[in-house]
Amino acid sequence: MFARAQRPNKEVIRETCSLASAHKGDNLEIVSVDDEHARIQAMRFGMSEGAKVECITRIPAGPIVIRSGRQEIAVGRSLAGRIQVRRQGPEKPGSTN
Amino acid sequence: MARTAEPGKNADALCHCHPAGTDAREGVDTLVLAGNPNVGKSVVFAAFTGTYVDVSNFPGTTVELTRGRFGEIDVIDTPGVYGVSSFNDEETVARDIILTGDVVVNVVDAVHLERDLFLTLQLIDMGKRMIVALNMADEARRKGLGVDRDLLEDLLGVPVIETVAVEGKGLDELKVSICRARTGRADHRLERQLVEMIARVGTRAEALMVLEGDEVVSERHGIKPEALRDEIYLRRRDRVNDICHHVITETTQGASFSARLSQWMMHPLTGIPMLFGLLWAMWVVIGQWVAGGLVGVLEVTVMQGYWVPFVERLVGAVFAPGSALFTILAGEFGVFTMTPTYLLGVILPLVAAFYLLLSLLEDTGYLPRIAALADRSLNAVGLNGRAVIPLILGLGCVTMGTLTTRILGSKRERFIATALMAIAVPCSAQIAVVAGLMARTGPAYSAMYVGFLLVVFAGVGTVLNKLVPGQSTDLLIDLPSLRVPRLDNVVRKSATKVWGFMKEVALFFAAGALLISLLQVTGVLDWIIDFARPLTVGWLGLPAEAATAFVMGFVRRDFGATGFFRMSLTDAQLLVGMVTITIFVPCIASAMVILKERGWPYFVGLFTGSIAIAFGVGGVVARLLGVL
Repeated sequence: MFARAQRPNKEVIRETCSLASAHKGDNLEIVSVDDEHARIQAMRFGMSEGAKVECITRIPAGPIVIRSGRQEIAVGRSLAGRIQVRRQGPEKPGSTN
Repeated sequence: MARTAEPGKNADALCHCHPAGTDAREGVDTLVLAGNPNVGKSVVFAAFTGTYVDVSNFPGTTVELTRGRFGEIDVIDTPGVYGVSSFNDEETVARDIILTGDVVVNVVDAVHLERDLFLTLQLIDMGKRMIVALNMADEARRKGLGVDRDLLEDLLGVPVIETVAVEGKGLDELKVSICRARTGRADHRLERQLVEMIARVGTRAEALMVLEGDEVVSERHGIKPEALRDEIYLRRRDRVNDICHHVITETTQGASFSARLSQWMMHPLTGIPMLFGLLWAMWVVIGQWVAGGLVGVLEVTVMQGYWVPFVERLVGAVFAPGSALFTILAGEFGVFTMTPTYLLGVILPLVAAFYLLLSLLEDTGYLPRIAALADRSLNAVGLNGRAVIPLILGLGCVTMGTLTTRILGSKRERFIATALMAIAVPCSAQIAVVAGLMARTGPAYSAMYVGFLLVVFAGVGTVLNKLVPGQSTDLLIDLPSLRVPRLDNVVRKSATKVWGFMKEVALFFAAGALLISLLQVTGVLDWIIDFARPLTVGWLGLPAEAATAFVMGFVRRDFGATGFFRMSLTDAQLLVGMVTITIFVPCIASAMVILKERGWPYFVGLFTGSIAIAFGVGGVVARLLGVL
């Protein structure tokens, strides 16, 4: 669950939460990976700070499956707990400019 | 559409910053194949080198290297890696080979360009002369993915050749393109720092490694590594995304059935029944056809029918039958009789079947989904989903499983996985016999057998998880798209693995046979059996002959179980025997492999531990079932 804070110009700021709490269909932005070894491997997969990913499914008591670009990646639950993300608005992820 | 990688920069700046070089005019001595796992590198390798290849270990590691010749050129295949660094053995070996290679052939999977181009750009940043094989181009088209080869070649700055390696398409063009290999468009923002570093280090590739913080390469030059890895990786990732955005067009929606199937495989409610379906299929094909039928023919008819009498005659001509030397060479556990019989008659068909199974699971994309499904359960015993691979192979042969623990991420995981396999996982040689015996009892007993083993697995795993120091790694794996397996690919990969396995363990089996024969000849074997008798009768409630069966189980795990055929036992006694013999020490060959992989202290601990647990659990089961 996240709290919404409203700025005077109606911009919505969302708090970060862990990837482990993501749900199917959530569009997320990766904020940080609190695990040195995993951070480097995640970077190779394109899961670096600022990357936009989509949660494809959560496996009950199991890994979180996300889509990063065109890749599907399974992230172990405890590792997902150490990845901080921010939920995004309704726009689709993956657009680069 | 912009036709340059950095829109907005003028052409002049590009010329200076990207000395992409002219076509290669120097000779090529060493060709290196590089790419992610499962992109089809080995097929490309085979296309270059033909059938004569040399497989060896990279010194100081357990990573295997395949070398061959293409005309006058040495071709070296590297392990599949996602990037080059010092993180683990595979990446270290790949790095060192790439550093010394003249030309790199980078094989990428057209369906997973976002994943694969990371390594490609790293190679380009390293300044290696290279060409790119855009493999599985047909599959990409079938999935509705269009890849603009021309644009990709422009953006990367190196030749890109479309291939469908398993069908032989594009391979001729690939071979001819070696002479066009050139350096590509590197990250121009690295130029200044790279040039400075090259002055201190010598080559551009090593300079990049130092900038990325590679400790090993830095140490070789006696300088401190830089800390630019994060920055460099982030920019590389951005460039990959940018290139993919420009060259990939998706013409149709991804197949939704395959997406749903993928989720069914991983969610427990649907995934577990599917897994049981797989296990049942494994049971029928491997347990019955292979272990029953094929092994029966090979071991009994061929080996024992022809080979053994032949060897006995041969050796008997030199040494008198019954003499010590005859027994060691051609006796019951003879080096030339039992070892080949066991290796070719029992182990080879079973190992081949299991490697085929694993390659099939890998090729279809089911395997990483099984890993995702099993992750949570394996976490409870200190492992992660990746451990399903050695565990599945451990069902085939504990030696296979132990060797495969090399893919696990930490020493701790290798420790736990090896112990679990040695103690609680029956190997296929044993399962075949156990199943035959349990068939005589009711299905309740078979269920109890499996149940007790699961309890031991969970128990030992949980205890080890609490006691073993260190950190296990978490699951972080790529889930490639599901696809129909390419059978020729599967067969070829399995054949390589089976051959590698047989070469590696044949010596251990022979040494094991030698050891047992020595024990037999010196009378130590009988002494051990006498020693075990009181324990067997008093504690387990089994007849005295069962002691022989247990000790035989150390020689060959199926021997141990077969001994029980000759005894008349109640169903409950049979169950006690089967459970005890499964947990009991691994066979001598796998014991030796475990010794080699994990070291003496581990081996001794495991040996004594498994004896203690085997008899402990056996005794408990005996009392639970009222055998005593």
